[in-house]
Amino acid sequence: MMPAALSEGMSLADLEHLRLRLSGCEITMLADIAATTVLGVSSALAHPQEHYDQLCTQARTALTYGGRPRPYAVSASPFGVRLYLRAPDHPDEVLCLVLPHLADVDLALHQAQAALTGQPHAGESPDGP
Amino acid sequence: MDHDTRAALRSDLLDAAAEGLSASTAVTSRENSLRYARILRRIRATILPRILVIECEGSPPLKLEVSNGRILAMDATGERGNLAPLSSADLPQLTCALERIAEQPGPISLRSIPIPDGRPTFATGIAASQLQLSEQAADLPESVAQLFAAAAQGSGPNDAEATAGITGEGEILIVGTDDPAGDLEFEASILGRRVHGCLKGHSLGEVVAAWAQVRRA
Repeated sequence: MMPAALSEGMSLADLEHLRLRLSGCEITMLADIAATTVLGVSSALAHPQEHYDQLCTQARTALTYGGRPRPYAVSASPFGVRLYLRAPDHPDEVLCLVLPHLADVDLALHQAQAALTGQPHAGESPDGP
Repeated sequence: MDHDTRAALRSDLLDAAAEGLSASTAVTSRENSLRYARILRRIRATILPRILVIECEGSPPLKLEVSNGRILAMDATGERGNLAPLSSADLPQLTCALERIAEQPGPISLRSIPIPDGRPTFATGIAASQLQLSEQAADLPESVAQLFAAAAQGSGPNDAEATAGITGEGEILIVGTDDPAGDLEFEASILGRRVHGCLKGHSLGEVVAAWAQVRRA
């Protein structure tokens, strides 16, 4: 059976695969920030839906910082890093990553971009999980 | 243990932890999160880099490993087939045990702590966002850290200024532009000040790492 597609070129299996490839990644989520709709989630912990809705709202706020659309945004705090990346062909669709403190953000961005464009293995770390 | 073996072990442990965590309960209390962060930072300062192994008394005995940003547990034989999720009810007990360890003077490499009820083996990621690996903090671009330091003082090359933005204390937001060669914009809040500006010639990772350095200073 083919995995359920969340979006063009992306499935729940892709989200899961991306999360497991990024060391310490807690959540990978695909959301439509225009509709504030969570399209799919892979999470290490079982959070309530409100948690993902809040993440979606934060993504929209970050990606419209300064009143104009941004292709990507990163929010870092003492408790971790959140990366938001718009899909190139569907800018309202956003991939959200919740990463550990001091995660390899450059690698995460690279792999997230690859996942959104259907190249999930690009940028793979040779000694990653 | 050579690099490949260690990497393979880490991969296996993380896979097992991810499997176990899928059924576990989220830590949602901010108060608890702060508490864990404080405790675990203290432990990190004492025992990292790499790995802390704590032997736990109980039946069967446990071995906790702090590795790669997570606390994992396995039975003392190192077998990973018996991993199971840690429930929220276990967290206070584990936290108390870690507190006791953190309060003891001297380096912590191997300590025994009691686990009530002789619980079976478990895996947990309670520290996934809080722990740091020392090796990742190495080789920070000093220029970026200095840039932030200047920004936090309200002057310097960023032309930083107070804004009514969206970041909270200790947070930074970095946004990109459609131009790959464009500057990264940032907004950050530290010591009650909120600043924003642009950064040239640095990757996202460098900026995040530098911000962590500034925050710890």
